[in-house]
Amino acid sequence: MEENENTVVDPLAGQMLPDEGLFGPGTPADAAAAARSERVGWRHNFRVFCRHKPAVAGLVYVVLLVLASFLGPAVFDLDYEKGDASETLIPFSAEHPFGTDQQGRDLLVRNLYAARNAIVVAVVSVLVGLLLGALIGAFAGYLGGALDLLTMRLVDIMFAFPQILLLILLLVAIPDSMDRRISMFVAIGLTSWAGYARLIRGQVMQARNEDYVEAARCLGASNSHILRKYILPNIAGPIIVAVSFGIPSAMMAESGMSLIGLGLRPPMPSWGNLIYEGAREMLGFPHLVLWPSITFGLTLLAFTFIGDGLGGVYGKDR
Amino acid sequence: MAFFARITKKSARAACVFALFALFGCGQNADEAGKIVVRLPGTLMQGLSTIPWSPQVPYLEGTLLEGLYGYDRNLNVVPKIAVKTEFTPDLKHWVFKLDSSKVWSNGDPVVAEDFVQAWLAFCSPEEATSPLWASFLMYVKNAEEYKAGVAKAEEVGVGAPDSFTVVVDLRKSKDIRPMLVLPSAMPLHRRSQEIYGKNWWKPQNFVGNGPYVPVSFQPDDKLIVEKNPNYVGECGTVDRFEIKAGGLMSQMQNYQSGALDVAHVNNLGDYRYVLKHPDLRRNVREQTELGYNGYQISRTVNPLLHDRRIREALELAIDRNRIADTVMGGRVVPTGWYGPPGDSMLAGLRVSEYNPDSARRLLVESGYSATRPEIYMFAPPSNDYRGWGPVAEALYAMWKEVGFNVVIQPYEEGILNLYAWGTGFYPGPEHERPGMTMYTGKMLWKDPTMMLRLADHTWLFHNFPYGLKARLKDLALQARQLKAEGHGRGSEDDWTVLDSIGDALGKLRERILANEPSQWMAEDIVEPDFLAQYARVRAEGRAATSMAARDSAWILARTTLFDAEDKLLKYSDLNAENLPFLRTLSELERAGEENAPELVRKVQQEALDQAWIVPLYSEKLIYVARPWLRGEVLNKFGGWLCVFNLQYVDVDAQAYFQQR
Amino acid sequence: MRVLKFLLKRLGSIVVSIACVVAITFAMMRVVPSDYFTQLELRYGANTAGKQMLDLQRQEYREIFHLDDPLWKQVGRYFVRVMKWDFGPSYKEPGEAHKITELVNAKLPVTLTVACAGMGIALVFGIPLGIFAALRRNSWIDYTLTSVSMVGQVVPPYVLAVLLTLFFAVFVRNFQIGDSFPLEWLALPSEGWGSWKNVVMPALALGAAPTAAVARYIRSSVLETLEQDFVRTAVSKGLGRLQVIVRHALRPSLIPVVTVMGPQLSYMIVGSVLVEDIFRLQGLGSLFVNAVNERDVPLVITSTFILAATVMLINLAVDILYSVIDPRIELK
Repeated sequence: MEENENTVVDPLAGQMLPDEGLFGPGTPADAAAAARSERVGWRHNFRVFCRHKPAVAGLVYVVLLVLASFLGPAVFDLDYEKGDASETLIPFSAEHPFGTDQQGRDLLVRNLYAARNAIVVAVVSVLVGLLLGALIGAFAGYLGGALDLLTMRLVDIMFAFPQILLLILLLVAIPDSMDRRISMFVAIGLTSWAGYARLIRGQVMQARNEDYVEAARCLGASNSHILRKYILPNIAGPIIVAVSFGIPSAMMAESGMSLIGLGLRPPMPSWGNLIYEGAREMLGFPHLVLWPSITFGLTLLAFTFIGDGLGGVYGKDR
Repeated sequence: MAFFARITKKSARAACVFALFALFGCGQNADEAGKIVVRLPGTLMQGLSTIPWSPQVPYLEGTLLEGLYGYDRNLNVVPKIAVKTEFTPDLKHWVFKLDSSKVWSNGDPVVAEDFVQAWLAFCSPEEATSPLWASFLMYVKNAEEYKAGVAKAEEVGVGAPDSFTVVVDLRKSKDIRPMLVLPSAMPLHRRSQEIYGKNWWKPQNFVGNGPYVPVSFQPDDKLIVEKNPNYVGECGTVDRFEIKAGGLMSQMQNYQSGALDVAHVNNLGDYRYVLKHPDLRRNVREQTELGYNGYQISRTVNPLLHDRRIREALELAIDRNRIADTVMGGRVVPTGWYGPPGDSMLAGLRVSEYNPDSARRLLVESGYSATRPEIYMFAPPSNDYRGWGPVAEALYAMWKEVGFNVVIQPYEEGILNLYAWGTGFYPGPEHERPGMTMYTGKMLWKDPTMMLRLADHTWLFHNFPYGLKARLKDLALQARQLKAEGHGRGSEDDWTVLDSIGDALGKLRERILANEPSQWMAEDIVEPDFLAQYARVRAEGRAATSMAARDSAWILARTTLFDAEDKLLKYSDLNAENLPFLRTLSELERAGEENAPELVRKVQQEALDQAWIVPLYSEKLIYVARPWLRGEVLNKFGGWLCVFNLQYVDVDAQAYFQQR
Repeated sequence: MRVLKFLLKRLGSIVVSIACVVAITFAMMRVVPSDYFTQLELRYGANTAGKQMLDLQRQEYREIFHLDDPLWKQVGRYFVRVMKWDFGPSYKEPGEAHKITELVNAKLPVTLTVACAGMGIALVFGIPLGIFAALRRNSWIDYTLTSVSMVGQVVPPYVLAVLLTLFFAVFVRNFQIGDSFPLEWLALPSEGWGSWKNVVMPALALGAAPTAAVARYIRSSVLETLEQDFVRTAVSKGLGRLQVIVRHALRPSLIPVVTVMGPQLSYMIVGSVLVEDIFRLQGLGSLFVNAVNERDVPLVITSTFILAATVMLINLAVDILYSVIDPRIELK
């Protein structure tokens, strides 16, 4: 998962984004223009986004997955923990297209719930990280000086600390009495803020030197007013791109922690648990591990495609 | 397919650089012509020392070292070096005569001093972590005291009057023969102990008296043993064993690729695969384990599960057949008692049957249904290899069906073990939650009391009124605090306080002893005599001149009293249910083999009725082995499934050389 | 001189960062709810002998590991030791003064070998694939290669590990093509470390992402180079495109690949934490995970230190390598 840390924020890895060959040319973000005519910008952006076929496919997949995993269980009254003891370990049937597990539970349903958990954990923890990173980065970038220096040192240290290790240490240090999902939010948030902070600081510094900001400051606008009115809208694009890459990275973090017993509590399914438990029975019952691996892989792919599409929209100069 | 062949060839070329350094590793695989080599799966070993209770234990018991007693092919305890054993009727004084023909792998004779020195080293104060509980030394006079630093080595009740006689004096009556097979009872070669110290077990230093000696050992990886040419006794035709540690998950693949000659089938997927595969199916062998798997109520101060009706409801809600047949896919057999279902010693015991309706009724009766508080199931994480995860989830579903409110809480192996096996209270949230841990009751050695050790410990830990448990936890906390803050104590006033506590406890003990009819029980309560120890520490503390010495003496004295209080309170609070149980148990500890079965049945029944520990199933030990392999003995003791006592392993040489 | 200054500056910042990493780890291990001693207490704390033993042990540990010292002192002392490549004893075996050093010496090569093998796979496969995709730009081959490399880059190594094993162990074998297939290469290593065959599978699983990264990098930089004047001239002179690429375009295109190697190598080294358990490798990753589970603080600190330091040193090495290959790049 740390490689996504890199794809999100590392300037080196940033160049690893796909070039125009498959994904069409990206328009360099004219941030000021986008701010001035937001509506036209959105429509235009959407058109550009739609030119990336994989991104559209990814978006469609994600939308379908979200609908299926959030509405499906409610509409069809599906239960992820109740099994039918007479139908265990079926590889495939009309009733259970993904088969069933040792408890006779339907794997399609469990996959949907796993998707739901992954999405919830990923979105919330990315927001936590973003919020932290945005606060720290914006203040560092805007105020500059010693504070900025200090913050950037801190960010460097966070980068020096391999993310997985920090994540494991944090999850061990958080008391077990807490809901595992909440500890995931906290831990993933705490390990991923540095990337956002660096990104936002850079953008803020860039925007700060723009003429219109200078002008606003001369007119006596307060710092928070300038941040809110002029700077934040201009850096929305790169943040959206970063978030769209942060989500699959957080999903990987969540499932990776299940491998070492720090994931969600069973019987609540998560992709990590499904894959690892399935891997144990792999020789006799390959379907147990096949489906979760495929759905998990596809979901990661879809989010990454969307990220690429957005990267094209907002330009790669991020 | 051609595509893959090409890729792998290419990558092989690319990997040449990396291969170079590993080439010597491959060279080893070439067998010398005519030698019989058997490759066995094992568990990760850190070393071959006799001290820690860890995965090397099965290889020390009878393969690398040989003790007074050992296992035969059927896992009965039989004399090995002991040619004659005498003991007094109260089982307190033992004399062993040694076989004078036995020698070490370097030719030195095995003498009584080798035993005595090894034993003294095991319980010496320098070996702070040696597990006395896994040793007959636990029963030996002054062994614990020696370890704690209050007795001298000469006072320990082991001795060698001449070179071929060993004498053992016990503080409690106990048939110690089953414990003499354990590594802690093995002799060690004295000279190599002196020369190499803690490194004596390294293959280049190893002097053993077992049928095989180690020739190479890599921690967590591989142990290679070869025939000991100087061994006196029965031994198979195998020249060399290569024991490879690795994942249990990968054994089947390694068996098929020829890297292993035995592979344990320990999950459902492998089992199904083996049954479907014509070649593998022919070579499947099966044995049953000696223990059982189940769950136990965890060590908590929460009183919820003290209500026997709730514990019974938990058990009644469980359909053991469903777990055995569907969740474990026929890989295990359901059992209602603490042992395999076929155990004739236990036949006829009353066991509880699946009955969700009465479970629901009990829940209403007990008032649980009204509030439905959470009950925690402490389970291993998803990478657990025993299949406990799915079992925990099945239990969860069945309990939920009758109306329990259960939460599954996964823990890493180490912590889980502590919750299941730890001996103390722990001031964390887990110990305020009612719940249970997945649990396996395996015999650690072949002792009739073993099965009960596995059934009683939670019960005796728990079955006290809540008030007492709170007091015990309070004591534990005070003791911890004392360690943290107890500096600057040891004034006259401080000692007066302790004296009065000591007096009160002494009186309590007198009262208990006056009313205790069982001589065995009384013996347990008297020993070790805390008042004598207190007096000794007190005298030391008052005589001490330095501040630090006074301080530590006072803390030691206080801790002694804490412990005594703990023990006496526990005893004085035993009730009509568990006092007789404890007496029977204490009787069983001293019983000879003849009386044991009847007592075992009695205690088992009581424990089953209490449902503190609930057995669910016994595992079948399924494995595939090469058709030419014979006489393998599986280690059914402890958690380390492997082939052990390698001297019994034999090979059909003709078939072996045909296949290789 | 400039190089020396650069090196000193970078090394200085590495030392500071690592000191912080170590300090953070120390601090985290202090707040862990159930530490090594509470675990010990649960295990042995039942009777007087056990408690006395624990007391003795605690006292001993205080002295050996300087537990009462403030954080900065502990970190400082740790660094002094590290200078001598001596990591001291672990909690588990406080008597063996060089236990952790032995462990590190045994396990670091395992992790490094797998990472290097993964890098080898990445270079051997990534470069040709990238060139190929660039030559057939915007054809279906290009699209397929780009998408597949996307999959390799996005899907985490432990999922790939499982899928690879599933593919070879189950499907290949079940369809009876497995008889002539060198199965022992694909067997998860119960053989333990020692046979180079055991490197293949983990290296494949870990090497997928770097392969994808290298391929994409090469593709775009070959495309870029193809646009340049000297290449155009060469083509117009009548040389074949492949020839041009091999003779002229490849060398400049290869240079940026070096920059990919740094992050990818670190990715594989840290990724070992999750992959080693699946392949039963006894490397640094499993050392770290086990140490955390046992709350063996010195071991946790050292394995974190080694992993973090390796990653940083690799990045430094790559920067230096980069400037050696392409002298136009300045070290700063």
